[in-house]
Amino acid sequence: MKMLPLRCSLSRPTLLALGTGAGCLLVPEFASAHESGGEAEGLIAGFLHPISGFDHVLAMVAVGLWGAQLRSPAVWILPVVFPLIMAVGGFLGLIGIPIPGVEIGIAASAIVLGALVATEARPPLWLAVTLVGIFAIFHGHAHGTELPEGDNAALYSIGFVISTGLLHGVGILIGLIHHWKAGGMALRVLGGLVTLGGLYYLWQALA
Amino acid sequence: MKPARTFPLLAIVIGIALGGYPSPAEAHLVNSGLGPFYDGISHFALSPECFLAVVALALLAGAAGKAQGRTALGFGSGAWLVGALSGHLAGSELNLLWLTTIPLLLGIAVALKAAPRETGIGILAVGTGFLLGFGQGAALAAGDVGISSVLGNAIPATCLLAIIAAIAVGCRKQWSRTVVRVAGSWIAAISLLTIGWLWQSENSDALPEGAPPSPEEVVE
Repeated sequence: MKMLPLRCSLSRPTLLALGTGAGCLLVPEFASAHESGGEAEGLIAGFLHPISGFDHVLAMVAVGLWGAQLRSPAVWILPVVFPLIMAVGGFLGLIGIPIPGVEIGIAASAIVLGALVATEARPPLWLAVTLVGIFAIFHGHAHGTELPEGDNAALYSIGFVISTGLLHGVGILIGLIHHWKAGGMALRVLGGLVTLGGLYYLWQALA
Repeated sequence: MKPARTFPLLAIVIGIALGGYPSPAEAHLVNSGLGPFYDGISHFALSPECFLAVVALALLAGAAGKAQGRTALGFGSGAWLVGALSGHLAGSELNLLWLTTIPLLLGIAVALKAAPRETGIGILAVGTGFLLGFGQGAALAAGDVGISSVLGNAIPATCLLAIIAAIAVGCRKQWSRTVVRVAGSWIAAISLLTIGWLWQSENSDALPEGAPPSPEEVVE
């Protein structure tokens, strides 16, 4: 499949600043839990939910990183597909259909996506979309079973989906360093770190 | 009309028809204290599912072309006003769960880059505008707000439709078209989660055995 180059009109300093800023967003939150906050508090509560578990953050950012590495059209298609399929998983969780091994699936998503970034894997687009879609089901289901009941489901969901989308955006922004030679190597190292994080969460899920 | 165009259109029309499923009133009315006209505006602004449906319709029409954008604006706003008036007079509200299928299906159509022709957009705009307007009008009537609230309700919907459709028409570059598709995907995802949540609220006693614990149980 022919991959079109990802064109970017931003200057290197701007890209660096955006990438650094995006990376900094990941630092303060290291809480590894999917906490139930009781009553839904609307937009803000929904916005904060996806970043309340670092395993989710790792995988969602990894989707963006991999998309940036795969370049167009994958960089655009993966963020379109992920929220939709994640919502399907969330829907299954909300209506009470159980999926076994959700936490293992989430940890596996970080391991696999990180490994794909680390090895600069370039599978066909359909395979990349299928893989990301399968992982999205696990993430969505975990969120769906943990969504607190409240009186404004739509506002909560808006915050939730925007937050998830922005995490992909952070991943894509960081992934833009791929345009530089050293950046490409740094991106592969980041992929390796995501895999290590995934292994840690897998160990926790199995323990 | 080609089958590729007919299928998504048919799915959306069926979804909109399902949106007409009646149920007891679920008003979330806000009294602005500024009179019925402003109550109508505030009610629209505080109904995210209607807001999302209007945005999705505008994106679908605008991305399909100028003519479709104009059709959606003309038919959609007219149908909204007629629907809101009918709803205000009838007073029976529509089921919010089924009503949320409208932004879900419209969002999926935007994400899939569907480009219905003017006739298709006209049908969608009339169906969407009428049903959402009906729900809004009925909720305003349930809150005992005067008939002028209907006009206050239809105006922001029309403005939002016009603005978003105009923006979508102007999206000609690949990246901006992708942004439109991502927005459609987000709208569909939000709607699906909302539907699941509303379903859970309505059927919290009917969850299957072995199902994950409800949020209330998790909190406990």
